Amino acid sequence: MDLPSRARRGLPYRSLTGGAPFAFAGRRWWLRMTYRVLLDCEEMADVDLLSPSFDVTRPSARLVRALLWAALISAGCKLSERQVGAKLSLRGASRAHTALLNAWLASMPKAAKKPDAEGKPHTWRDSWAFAVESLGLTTEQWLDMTPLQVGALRAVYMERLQREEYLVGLIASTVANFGPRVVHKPFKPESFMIHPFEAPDTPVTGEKLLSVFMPIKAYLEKAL
Amino acid sequence: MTKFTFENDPQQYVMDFDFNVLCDAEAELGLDLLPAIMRWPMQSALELRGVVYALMKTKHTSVTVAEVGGLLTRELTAMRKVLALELIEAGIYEPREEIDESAPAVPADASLPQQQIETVSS
Repeated sequence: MDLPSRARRGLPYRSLTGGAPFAFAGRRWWLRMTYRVLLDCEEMADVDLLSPSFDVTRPSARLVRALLWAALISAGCKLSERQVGAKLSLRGASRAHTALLNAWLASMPKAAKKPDAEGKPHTWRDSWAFAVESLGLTTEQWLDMTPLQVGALRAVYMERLQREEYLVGLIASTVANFGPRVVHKPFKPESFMIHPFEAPDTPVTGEKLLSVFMPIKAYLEKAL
Repeated sequence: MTKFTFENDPQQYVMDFDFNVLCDAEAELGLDLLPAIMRWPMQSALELRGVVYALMKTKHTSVTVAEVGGLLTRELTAMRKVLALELIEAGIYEPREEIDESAPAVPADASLPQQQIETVSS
């Protein structure tokens, strides 16, 4: 039996892309924040989604309409932006805002612990260049992916890069440690890595909490 | 859709929500009106005027911001009440507590402008 496949119908799998459902115009749509949706929205609403001042939790009406329209078009809807707006009541606008926020959160990767280049603003062109050059995606493939998917590919790419850097660092540290020069502190392979491993999160224990609060308690006892 | 009139004013006013008109008003006024609606009743005078303007513009297409400002100057309390009813009906705003209408919130001799509000479900 030929089972219906989402991929065969041209729709990406929800578990891969992330997103959120939204009932609109008598149908249930799956809203995804792909790069195409985000760029379409920017063009239509004339906003900069990458601006530090942009706040997705308090969007303007124009942004809600543009983002909803772009996400619906991406899901196969044929309505124009004004037709989408005409179908939104005040209550519907509130529901649309919630659905868009859910779709946004579900389509975005977790924030990096350490930014790649501190102080350097991130642009769409940077994202596109990384996807095409480093990840080997075509522009069309990148446009149809959510930042969540590209984030997953980026994590695998970084893992491979770190593994290669570690192996090279292993050779370099061996040469440095056993070379003719006297080494006071032995080099580690990580010393030669451009992208060092992230330090694992240390769990918060009772001892750690006590070490933080005891000096405060001692100070307060002394002061009172 | 809410129709309302004021005492000593023969004209009937209508507030109706149209998302496209709200978007156009945002572009015209340079204000983010949807967040202002969502955080009712905590908005600035500028935002309140913008929201009322956007809601009235749907039916009164030739209304100006200055006219809405004038209307708000005359009937601020009544207009806020009309707007609150519209938002309560849409489920955007829930009053924190039930208002006991039997208990007078203002001195008995205080006179408030009488207005007629009629909500028409569209």
